[in-house]
Amino acid sequence: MKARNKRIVFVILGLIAVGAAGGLITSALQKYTTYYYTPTKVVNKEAPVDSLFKLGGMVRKGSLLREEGKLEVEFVLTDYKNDVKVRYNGILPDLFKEKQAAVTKGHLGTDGIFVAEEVLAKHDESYMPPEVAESLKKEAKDVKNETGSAADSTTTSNPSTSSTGAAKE
Amino acid sequence: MTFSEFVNMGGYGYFIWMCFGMVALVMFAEPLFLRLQRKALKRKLDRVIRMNKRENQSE
Amino acid sequence: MKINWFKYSAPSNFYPVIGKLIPFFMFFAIVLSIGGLYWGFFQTPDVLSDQKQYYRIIFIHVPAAWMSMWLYAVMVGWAVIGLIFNTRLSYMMAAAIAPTGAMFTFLSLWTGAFWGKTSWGTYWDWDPRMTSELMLLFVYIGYMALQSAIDDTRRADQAAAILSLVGLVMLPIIYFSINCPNPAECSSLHQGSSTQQIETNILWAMLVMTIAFWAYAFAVIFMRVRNIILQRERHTKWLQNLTGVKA
Repeated sequence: MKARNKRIVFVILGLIAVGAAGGLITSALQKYTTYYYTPTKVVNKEAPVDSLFKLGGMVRKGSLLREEGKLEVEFVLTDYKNDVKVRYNGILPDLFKEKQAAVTKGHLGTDGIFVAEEVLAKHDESYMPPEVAESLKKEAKDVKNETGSAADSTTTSNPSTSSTGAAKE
Repeated sequence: MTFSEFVNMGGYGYFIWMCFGMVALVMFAEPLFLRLQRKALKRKLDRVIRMNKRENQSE
Repeated sequence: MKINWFKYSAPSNFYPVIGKLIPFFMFFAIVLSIGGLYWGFFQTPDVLSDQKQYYRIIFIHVPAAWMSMWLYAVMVGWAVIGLIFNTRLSYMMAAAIAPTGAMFTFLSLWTGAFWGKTSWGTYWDWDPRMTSELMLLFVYIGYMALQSAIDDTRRADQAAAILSLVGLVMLPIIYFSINCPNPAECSSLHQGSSTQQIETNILWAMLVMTIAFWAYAFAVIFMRVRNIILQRERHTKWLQNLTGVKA
């Protein structure tokens, strides 16, 4: 009898575990497919207006604005095709930097500015001291003839692409 | 580098020592638990052996 | 010299041999850990191109994550050998590996959480890599639960072995969970891995820690398999003769 009770408990625990696992997978997949938007999608008005979603992209070079003595920051997220301005009131993660990828969670205001509740930074797989990373970057630049700045130049051609995006509607 | 500077880890001491502390704790606890389990199992085995002996004697 | 490996597939021959090996593996685990940690904390840069001192979590995070996957593969290997040849010892090995594998999975999630908090800004996110690693933890727990839920040892071993085989699908899922070609287009946080973009001292300290973790894994798995033998074979003559004298 005792052994049977033990089995029943284990079966129930097992079912709970499997159920939890299934639930977690589905919720994770859902979150990753439905809640994530790029700046282009936002500019094309594919993103929801009232509800929470994630917006990700690269932090545009020179776009980070911070008022002295205040936590509130403003920056522009770009996917090199379109830009979205983001406002955030909180502590930025250590890796948050211009020209680095970031993921924000929040909602889109009627003025087109994304109000973030959470800002997360990404980092690459480089584990190098700064001077080594710098010299490697230079080498790569010499080899590829400044492909790194090519990405920046596409962002400057932004107004034209975003206007075509607006013309579509 | 002083000891407190080392512990501080440039302000990230909490995160680093939470990680290394947990790893040390778990890796210390696991062999210890297995040792205790072994002692308990040996006691159990002793009982089995004694029981067998008694049975043999009574036969 | 030719070693007859089949001889050691019998618990009665395996038990005393691994008993002698445990202290060696423990010794290597401790020495290599001390060496690896010294290397990692004192022979490496304090500041990286984008990360600060918290990157040192890498010395336990990456080895733990590797171990969680490798041990799973080894566990399934023993389970399959058990299914094919129906050898008691292979099942015992598989059962002995599971808790240690689960422990390493937990440690990789734990250390990853603290690393994530300092660098990305969050302890947890439903990132594909993290979610799939969490699933691996559930698979380990499921294996152990099923194994202990069935009273008949033989059937428990077989059922758990089949479950572990199904769970093997998690390894490629984890491995390929980082598949974001352009960081601006995915919300996944976890970065890929590369051995070329790592400073050599960091890489070596990490590899030494990995070997230390392997030695530790051998030691505790052998300890556990001996316990399992003590438990399962307690009615056999050889064990009673072996330990009865000086238990």
